[in-house]
Amino acid sequence: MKRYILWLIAIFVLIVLQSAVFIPLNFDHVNLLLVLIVVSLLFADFDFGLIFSTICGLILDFLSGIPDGIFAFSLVSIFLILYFVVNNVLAKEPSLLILFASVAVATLLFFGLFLLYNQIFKMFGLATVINYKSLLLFDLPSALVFNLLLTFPVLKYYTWVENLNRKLSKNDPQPVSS
Amino acid sequence: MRFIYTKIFTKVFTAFVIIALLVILDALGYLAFLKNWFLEGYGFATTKVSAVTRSVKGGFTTIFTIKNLASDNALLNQQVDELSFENARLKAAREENLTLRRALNFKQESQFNLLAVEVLTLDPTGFSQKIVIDKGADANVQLNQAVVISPGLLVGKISRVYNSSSEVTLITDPSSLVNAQVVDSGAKGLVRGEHGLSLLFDLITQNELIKDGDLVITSGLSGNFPKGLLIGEISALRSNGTDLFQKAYILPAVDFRNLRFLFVIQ
Repeated sequence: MKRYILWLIAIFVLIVLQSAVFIPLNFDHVNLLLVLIVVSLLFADFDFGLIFSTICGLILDFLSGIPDGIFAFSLVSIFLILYFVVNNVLAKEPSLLILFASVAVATLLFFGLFLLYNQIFKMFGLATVINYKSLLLFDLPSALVFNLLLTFPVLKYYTWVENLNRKLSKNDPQPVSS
Repeated sequence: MRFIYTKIFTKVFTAFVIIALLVILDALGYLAFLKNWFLEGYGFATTKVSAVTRSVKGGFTTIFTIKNLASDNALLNQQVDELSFENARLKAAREENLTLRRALNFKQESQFNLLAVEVLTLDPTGFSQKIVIDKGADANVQLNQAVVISPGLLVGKISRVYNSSSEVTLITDPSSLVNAQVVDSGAKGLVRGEHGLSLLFDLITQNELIKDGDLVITSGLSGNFPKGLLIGEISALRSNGTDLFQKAYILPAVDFRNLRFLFVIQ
């Protein structure tokens, strides 16, 4: 439980950084939570990754002006697709090459799934209006570049939070064995 | 074993059901309180951090632009002189206009009642052109009210109201439509968002005269926005003789990436 609380705070800090630091500095369409999900699928177990991607998706849904659910479904789907590809097709060996390739694929998938779920939500009258030309010609390349640029810092952030979690767990009082 | 009996399927199914439930609850408006609370906390943190970012960015910008300060200052002084002259001329014209309106018994133009607001968040995903401001139903903010940046530059309109915050759809959002007109020629058309890149001025009849640099303001038609709010200036024309209507791109007058203090027209 403590791990999830720590990660909730870590996600909150990351999304504040994205909004308050990277976007004012014109890092348009960077998605640090997507990069964090990719890192987590390489280093964490299935349960943690699934809960993690659901929470990240819901936070993005809350903060964007887009109907709730589109980002959550997109991020969970990306996690599932990449998890099965990384575990069943590739050997699960966390290497920087696999990490960067996964971030690139995840970014492409994110845009594709966003459009797909937006179309599905359209059936219920909940979709947002999309300018496909600008989304694919301008937003996607910019997101790809910035996500790849920030992959390594996000990896460092992930390991720092996990180390912090381990340190806090060590300080917990151990149960006395009889 | 079939896949649907596996533990992984159960977990994935549970996650999708939870998200679907939250979607339904949000659509019914039951999550408004939770969202309002979350946006307040997030907005508070973002405002504090972005203030630091802005000051650092401003510091670096100053260093890089310091060599141009003398020439910029001379240029701005010249502009101040020109604008002072223009201002005096417009004041005289305004007085004359008021006198003529009174003489002709025209309806007096109403003054805007402005509510000062602060931007809490910009959409961090960039997929929508929406922002959240720090006033909501508590401050009598209502749906579809126009939002401007001082003194009368159009930013967008209120698209969702919570108790103590509201969502503003910017005019650059593809769903945004604004009835507009060119200041000089009076050519009327419809301004549509182009996803943050620019604005498209559409449905201008072929017999209207428009050119690069023309200022575009709200026309007040359809009643969505008050008349006379500045939208931007025409940056490029895009039409040929065979088209039914002329089109033009508008460079917005507002920097939508650096919004902070705004006004809601009530």
